Amino acid sequence: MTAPDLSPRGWNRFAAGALARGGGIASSLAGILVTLFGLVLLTFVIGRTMPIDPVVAIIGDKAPPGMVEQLREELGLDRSLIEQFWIYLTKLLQGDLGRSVMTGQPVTADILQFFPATLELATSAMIIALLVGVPLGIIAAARQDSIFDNAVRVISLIGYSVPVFVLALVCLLVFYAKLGIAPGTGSQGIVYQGMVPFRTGMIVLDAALDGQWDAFRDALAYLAMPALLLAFITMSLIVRMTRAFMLEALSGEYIVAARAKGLSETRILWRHGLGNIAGRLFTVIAVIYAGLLEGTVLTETVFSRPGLGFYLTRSLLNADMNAVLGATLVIGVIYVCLNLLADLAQRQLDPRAR
Amino acid sequence: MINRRSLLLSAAALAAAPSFARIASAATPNNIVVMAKSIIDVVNGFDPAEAYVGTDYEITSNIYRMLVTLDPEDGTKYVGDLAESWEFSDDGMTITFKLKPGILFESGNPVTAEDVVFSLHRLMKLNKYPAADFAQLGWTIDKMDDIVHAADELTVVHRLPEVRAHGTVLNTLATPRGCVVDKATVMANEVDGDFGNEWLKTHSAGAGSYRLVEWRASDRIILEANPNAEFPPAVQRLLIRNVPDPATQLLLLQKGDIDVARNLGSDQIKTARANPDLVELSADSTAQMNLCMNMSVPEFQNPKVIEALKWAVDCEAIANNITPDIWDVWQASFLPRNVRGTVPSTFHKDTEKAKALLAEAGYPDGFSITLDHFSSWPWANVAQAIQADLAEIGIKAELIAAETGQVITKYRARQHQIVLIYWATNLYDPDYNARAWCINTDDSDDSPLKSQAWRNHFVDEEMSELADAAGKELDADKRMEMYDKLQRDFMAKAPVSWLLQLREIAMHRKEAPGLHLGGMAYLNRFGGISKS
Repeated sequence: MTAPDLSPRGWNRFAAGALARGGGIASSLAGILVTLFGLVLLTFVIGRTMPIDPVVAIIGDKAPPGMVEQLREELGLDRSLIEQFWIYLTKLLQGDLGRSVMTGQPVTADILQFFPATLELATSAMIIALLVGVPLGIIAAARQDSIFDNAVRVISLIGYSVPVFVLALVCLLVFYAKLGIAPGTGSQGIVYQGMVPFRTGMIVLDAALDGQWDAFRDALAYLAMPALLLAFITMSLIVRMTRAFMLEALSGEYIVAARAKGLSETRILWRHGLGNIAGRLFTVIAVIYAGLLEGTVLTETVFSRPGLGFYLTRSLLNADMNAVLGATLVIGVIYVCLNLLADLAQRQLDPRAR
Repeated sequence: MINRRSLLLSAAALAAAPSFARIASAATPNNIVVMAKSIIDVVNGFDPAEAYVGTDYEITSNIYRMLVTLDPEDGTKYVGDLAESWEFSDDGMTITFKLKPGILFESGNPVTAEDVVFSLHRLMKLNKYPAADFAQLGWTIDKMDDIVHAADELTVVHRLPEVRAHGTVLNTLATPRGCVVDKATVMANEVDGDFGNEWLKTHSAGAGSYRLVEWRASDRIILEANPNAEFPPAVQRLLIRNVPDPATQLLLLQKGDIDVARNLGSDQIKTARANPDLVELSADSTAQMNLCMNMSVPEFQNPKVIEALKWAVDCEAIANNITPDIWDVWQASFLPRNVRGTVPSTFHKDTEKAKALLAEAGYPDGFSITLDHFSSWPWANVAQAIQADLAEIGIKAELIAAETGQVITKYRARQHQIVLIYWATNLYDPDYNARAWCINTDDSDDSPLKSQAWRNHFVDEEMSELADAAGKELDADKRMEMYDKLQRDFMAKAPVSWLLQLREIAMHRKEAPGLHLGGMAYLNRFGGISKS
């Protein structure tokens, strides 16, 4: 890489800019590390002080006292909280998230098993929700108080007010049991179970990567209903936010000016309106997506697709702290990354944020 | 208005629908049986030296065999499993087991006395929770060579370290704790002196009908027919899918996407009964629901108050209205109805009698108390019904709902006042429950035996002695008389009100019969499941 050809004053300005940028990155990184440390600390303290004995989860309620004490010692639960936290942190820095007491496997292996299921479901739901939700929100704003706007409002109201497990069961009853156009629960048909080699853990993708197109179609069919259901709920939120942002944007003076210049309504909506709300919308979408990745426990339960949320909930209820901390850390990293991405995108999309 | 775009979209949807519908209507193949079950209780996999809960137990007892097992037709009798015969010495302190010749492990290795001895020694050396039941019989790691040894290739000798009723010893050996593993296979997979424990969590080395192919935590368990099994199963593969939601289980069963459903609720059972394609199986489980009263609470130090509570609760109404088909009334003593020698209950709802007892105890206006319970169904509903029943006799019960682990932790620490909880014996032999509920010889916080009696501060020296003596009585008839007295004393004195007993219900499609429910998880057998 060659050095830029600059005058001495230019060099000074370049160096100052680079330093400022470097400082900015360093402070962002420090912020992220402090956030993650705080998250781990908080989760650790809550986990260790919650009134559930993890030993009961491992060896049951009937184990004799001697064995209970022995296991407590093995797990290091007889040490002080500070000592336990220090041991956990030391191992964490070496990339060791410990072992789950509920599955007996390393937490990293568990996360690699459970997270892809969530990623697959959440990402497909998000893509569908975005493709449908954003245009619906924009059109609803453009036709405020019209029949279309009211219809969208009612549909989105159903989406975020009816409990997800009720919608899930109704969907299963109608599309699977009555109409027979969707498969039941799970992520694969029986004949394909164990046939798709593990690559990403996302079965649809793995089947495609392996060129098993029958297994791909099968897995896609199993994914369709839970993904569409989650997409419907997510879309309801996206529609409401898009509509609200767009209504605000449409009352802006630049829109009046654009109309006065005689620009077409389509251009005003999709270029000027959407262009102006894109930054804010991206931030909201990032948070919604992070929420989906954090876990959609009820959907996962009804459709028998255990993912990260299911893993976290189950571990929490059994005081399986290594698993809880590991999963929380993953979720924390997801939130931080998506927030960072949203910030960058907003700066890129909205000059006022730079 | 139909434009070109909507026409194209409709055409695409129509094209896709038949392919989804094909997948949707796919029935399960004939050589595979699919069972839906909540398998989130599986902890630490399927090493019999570590397994201890429902699903672990069920799987291990279908992939391994024991020396003896409980008679599937009569859970109070023992039949040989790997053992062809067994006999007790005249002093009753030695049991000699003769193994059936020619039985093979899934690896093709023959089952020998050395494998049996290795399995039982391994159980004690690993010292996981299942070792505790043998420790109760006096087994210790350092004396294992004397306790269990091989006399020849097909003869195992068990020398009892202390006098114990033979039923208790045989029943303990008949649980998955007594499963026999293939020594050569297990030791070939040993890491850092773990006796193959890590490997056996996700693999099998048994002689049962099935072998373990795959376990994905909270997702599925796949079993495959053991090619060397003495009694090969009727189907090649058994897929156990984690379907925690009962309503979903019923939908899948009705559509034929699963063959057996194991966790249906009352509503689903009612619906399933109306479907001619489905067949119901049921068996009394040994799980019991009870109200435990902590005798450190001043009111419960008066036996009349405890008795009043036992007369106050309307179990009939709870069973009929809240838990129909699943929890039946069983208000007798510490033994479930399917264990030998149970005595009938004298309790039923009698509000006037309960009020009179409270008045005699000096509480004519009742008192206030807290009642801990699990927040899930049916516990929360049952707790509310009990609260209403207690209110009728003037006792104001404040309900404290919490997660299972939280309630159990509080109960173990003796911090409850009343707790609505469950109990399930590990053995059909009465000794297990008698010890748990009657023996408390040291009520201090540092007691080495923190029994259920200890948890409720229930101390009765005479009952403690009788329970211990009954466990050591070799005369079967005399022993049953002792348990009879113990149960009646317990009903009269103990701060425990037994309410209901669980009934395990499974539904299968009529083309997939053969599941055997045995009342306890380790007696549920998959080997007979077939498919037409």
